[in-house]
Amino acid sequence: MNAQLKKGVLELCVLEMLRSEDHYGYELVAKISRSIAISEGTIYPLLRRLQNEGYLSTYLKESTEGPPRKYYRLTPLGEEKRKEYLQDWRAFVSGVEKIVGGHSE
Amino acid sequence: MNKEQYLKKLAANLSKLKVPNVEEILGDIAEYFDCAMQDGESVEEICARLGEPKKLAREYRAQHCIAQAHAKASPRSMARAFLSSAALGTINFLYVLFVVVVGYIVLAAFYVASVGIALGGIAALVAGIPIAALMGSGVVAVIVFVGIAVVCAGILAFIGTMKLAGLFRKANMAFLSSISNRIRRENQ
Repeated sequence: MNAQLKKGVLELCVLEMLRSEDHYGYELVAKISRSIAISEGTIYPLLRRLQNEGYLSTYLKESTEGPPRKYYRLTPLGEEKRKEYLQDWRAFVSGVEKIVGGHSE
Repeated sequence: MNKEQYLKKLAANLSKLKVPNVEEILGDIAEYFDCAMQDGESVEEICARLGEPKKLAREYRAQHCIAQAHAKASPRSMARAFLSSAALGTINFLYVLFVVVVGYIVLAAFYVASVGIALGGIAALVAGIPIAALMGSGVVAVIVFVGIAVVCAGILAFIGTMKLAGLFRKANMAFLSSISNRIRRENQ
């Protein structure tokens, strides 16, 4: 899959992943890369931006093995953004499907 | 390349590209290393998945630029945003306008009062001395002393008002920029 296309959708994936529960970085990366082939080197910088823009907040939580981990949580602003992205995504996919769907190979 | 070498190279590349919060970024990546190693991954695997430190630093730089572009609103979007927020919170907006107008009126009154006090002191000196001279040198000294004190008080009041006006202007600016930040976020 085209790298640029994946990158654009990744933001929605991260926000969706954090919708139901908080995750720490490694967990988030592992879960996302199970569904989409994406480089860790793309997710971490994205997490930082989402945090800087106020869509995610972070906190440290003790772990049973090793030092405390940094957890990411969706902020109310992030939740707004998530809804907006999801709408955009659905509209985009159905639009593309209208064009692509008619030309099955 | 081991974890320390990777982090060192990443740090060097991040500072070269002027990416902020280098320490925090290194902390995130160090945590990734630790978690992945606990999960049984080899250092080589982890380094390969993160990509070259140079490339990772470039990606951080790119995301930083995106954030800055989002934060930097054009005059048009700012005007639109300000209007929309003024419409949304008209009462809020009027209230702020009221505070600003009253603030400037009070400041103007202070300026007039301090000039008045200083002029009063001068008037006391000019008019009082010939009259006091008839009553003896002791009275002249008192009038001169009081007159100079009043002029000084007027000048001090004027300087104080200037300081106050400066603070008020700063407060207004801070408030405006906090509003524009909020608007920017809402309009993203």
